[in-house]
Amino acid sequence: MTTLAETLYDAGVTSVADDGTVIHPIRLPSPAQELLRSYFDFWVRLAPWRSSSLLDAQRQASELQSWTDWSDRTLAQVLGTTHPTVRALLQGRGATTSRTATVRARLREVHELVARIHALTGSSAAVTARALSELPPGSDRRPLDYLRAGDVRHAYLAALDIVRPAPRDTNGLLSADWPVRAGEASVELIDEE
Amino acid sequence: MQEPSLYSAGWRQGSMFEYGLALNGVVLGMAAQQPSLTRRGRFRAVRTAVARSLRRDQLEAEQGPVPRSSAHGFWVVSSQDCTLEQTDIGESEPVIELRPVFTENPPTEWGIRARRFLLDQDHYVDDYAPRTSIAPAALNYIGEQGHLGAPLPSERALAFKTWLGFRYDRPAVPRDRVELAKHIAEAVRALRQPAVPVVRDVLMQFGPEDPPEYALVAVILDSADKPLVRSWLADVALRVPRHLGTASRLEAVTTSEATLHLVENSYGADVSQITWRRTGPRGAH
Repeated sequence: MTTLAETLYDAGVTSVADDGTVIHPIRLPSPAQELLRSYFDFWVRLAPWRSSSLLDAQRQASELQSWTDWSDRTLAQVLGTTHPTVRALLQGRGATTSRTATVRARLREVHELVARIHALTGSSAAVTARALSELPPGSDRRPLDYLRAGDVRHAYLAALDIVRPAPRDTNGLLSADWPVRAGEASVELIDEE
Repeated sequence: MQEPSLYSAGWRQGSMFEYGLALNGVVLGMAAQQPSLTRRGRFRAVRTAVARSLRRDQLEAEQGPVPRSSAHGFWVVSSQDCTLEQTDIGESEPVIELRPVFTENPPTEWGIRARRFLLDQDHYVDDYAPRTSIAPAALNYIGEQGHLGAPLPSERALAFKTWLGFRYDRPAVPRDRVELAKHIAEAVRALRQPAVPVVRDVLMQFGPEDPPEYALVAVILDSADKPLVRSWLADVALRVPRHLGTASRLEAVTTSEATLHLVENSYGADVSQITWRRTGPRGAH
């Protein structure tokens, strides 16, 4: 029985698989073709083309989920999109349109922020998720609320208020976190002639 | 009756004058500069023979630090006005500091943080040049001979005062934090609006890890500016590459909330570099 691939091959037709792989038959002179056909695959298979921004988006979305244990739906809310769009991002699919470009830009911002919070929580997904979903002291908005509103700056500040509350004394005075040792600052910050 | 002071005689910090005086420094003698040569027997023999034919001070000059003196003809008074006010014109000890003034190849920028500082369009001082101390009596004599220069215009005198202070308090950081600190300073510069006009200084602290956590604390005058400035610091921190470190504290404090402990244990990100450039000072005081 002749398979679809063999039929396409015989017809010299280039086909595209579901995952985007391009399959192109190679034709040899007929006697050799017939002789070798049963031993070798005469298809050239080209991996589906994906733009670097799409690959970046796939990696960023995947890392965000591993750092926070967020579901597709939560990630979609944070990115201001739908969960099918997030699923497509995670699978490395999706055309580049103005809409997806906006989602990817927001993804980059959120990724930059969550990477920092994740580093501050000792790379714990549970602690990172908690830091982003709790209310900071004296505030009525969680970091997640700011992220859903597209406000990465205030999400950062709210998360810091949770994971690293400022060490103020009872009079509201702020001290340094780490001591400086005299003689260490040996390189000038601004090097002007 | 108390003698008049240099201040009452018209001398000010920033007074420029022309007069030939010695410019003194200390350098290392020739022999000490070439330790590899001094170890060689042949060279040592030659040096001894030469030394015998030289005067005693020259022999000493070869063996260690030695004074070097040259003449210079253009000066600026760099001691503070309060010192000039406190010193009688008859004082004979050299307690007033002078810096040599140069005119060749002046810098193109005013340079409040720079090694060279423009006193006016044509005259500048160089922090790496040696300086001289002069007795008030000698300075008064020079003034009486008609060499007392006019004081600098108020804004340049103020800038000179700031420059002199900054030369001993330049923002510097540990070698392993240079790249991070420079990125922070660059982000502060790039994002200067809208916060810099209300920020007096940005202090940096670095944790011990690698890459480190770091803290940015903006010192402000009005507590009403806190939300704006914290939000600005978040922008700055998000602009700094993550592999260099992670901001773990972004705070804005008023001058009355910043403890001496905070100031002494922080490095300055130098907001003044943003406001002092070709156009001169703008809000750095």
